[in-house]
Amino acid sequence: MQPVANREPALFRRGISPGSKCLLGLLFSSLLLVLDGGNHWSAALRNNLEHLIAPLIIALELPGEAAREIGRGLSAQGELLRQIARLQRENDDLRTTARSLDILQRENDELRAVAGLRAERFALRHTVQLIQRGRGIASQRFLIDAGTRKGIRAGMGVVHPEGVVGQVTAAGETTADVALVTDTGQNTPVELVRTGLRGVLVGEGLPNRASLRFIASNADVQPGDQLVTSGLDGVYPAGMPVATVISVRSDAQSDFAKVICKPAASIDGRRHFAVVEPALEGSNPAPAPPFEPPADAHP
Amino acid sequence: MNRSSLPDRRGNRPMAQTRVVLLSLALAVTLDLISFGSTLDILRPDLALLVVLYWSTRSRSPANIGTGWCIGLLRDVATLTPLGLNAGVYGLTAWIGIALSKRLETAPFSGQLLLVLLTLLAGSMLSWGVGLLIDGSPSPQTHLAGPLIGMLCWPLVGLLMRNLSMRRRRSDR
Repeated sequence: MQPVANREPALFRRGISPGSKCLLGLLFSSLLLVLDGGNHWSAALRNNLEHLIAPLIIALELPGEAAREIGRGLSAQGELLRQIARLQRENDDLRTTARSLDILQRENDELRAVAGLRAERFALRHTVQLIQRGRGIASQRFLIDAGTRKGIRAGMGVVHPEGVVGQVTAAGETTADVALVTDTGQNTPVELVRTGLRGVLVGEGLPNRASLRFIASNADVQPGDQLVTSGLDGVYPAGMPVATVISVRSDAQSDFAKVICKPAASIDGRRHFAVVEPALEGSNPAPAPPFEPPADAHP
Repeated sequence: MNRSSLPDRRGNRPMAQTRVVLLSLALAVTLDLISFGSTLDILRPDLALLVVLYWSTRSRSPANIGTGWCIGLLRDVATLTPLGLNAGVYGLTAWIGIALSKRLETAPFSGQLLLVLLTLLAGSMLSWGVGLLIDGSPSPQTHLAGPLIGMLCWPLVGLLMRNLSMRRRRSDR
């Protein structure tokens, strides 16, 4: 095997050989990999590069957005009528639920007052838009179009009307990285709606899959059980839907059950999300604009 | 006359070829960045990697390991992968492309496809190894699917690049 650049006799060869260049490239790559994530310099480099290519990414989203708009405009009338009928039914159901929720909220406020607990406050910080999905080992991450300039910081929660989406892991000036609840290393304190049992939902790095950890093998957990945020981490408001249990497996050799869950909110087909700010003790958060899913958001 | 300004044996002048290389790389990167949804994205070939490999196998091509490394770094930023991961893979692929250029030119069609598959697999294995160190549980299916899809797209990429190169040469004349 004779590389092209090595065709000339060794005496007349100039510069470094392709092999050395490759080795040098791999060394630089290793250095960047080691520094990435845990180093201020590499974070600044990534943020600056993201800042540079953000307009390109946003511009590339425009044709897709236009195609989606055209597709929506061409939807059959029958489909629209069916959707309207379904939405009306849902609206009726929601009104009924809202009435019972009002009663529950009043009861809850009274109980909190009795217990001397102060109601937790969370400010909806900003409505953000997904501009790029991660790929490969970063497939459970995505990039949003708001950064420190709009008050977004690492650690803030990202939610959708369907439930918890993930958490901001790094914020640049105009963009921020968000890790989904399914991302490896994402731990979300949750509780079961049916039993009140608490646990931690841990991402497995796979789409639409996370596991509920530290659940005793004899605990009362069933497929179909709803998981909501417990609010213990101060990142998400308590009671937000997080996931649904899809399978429970107990192993005689382990004290804990293997509980596999499907997240309540997915980013597939969704573009708009809200960033929530953790409540600060004694603070009085400025009123933030209420989160309203845009007209194009999927139900 | 400076040797670097001479046309290569295909008749391409270096400056014209540089423009073709840059244009094709820009197109490939742009196409790679457009998202079609999670399911389709998994099945998409890494066009930028294929274009880097194609140009690194051409004799007297201005694309080299540094070009591949920079394109990889750009992809790292755009796809939120750890900085240096794709840069390393692209650099390695470009080097293998340079080393295999003669064999690729003389090999029969099936041999070319096999060499391309092995080259893409080498990059994919590097990516898988780094993923194993960082993430602990990378999915092996996606790392095998990428090179296979890339190999299947190689003839099309080759055809497009040749056409682009020839059109550019004609317009320059």
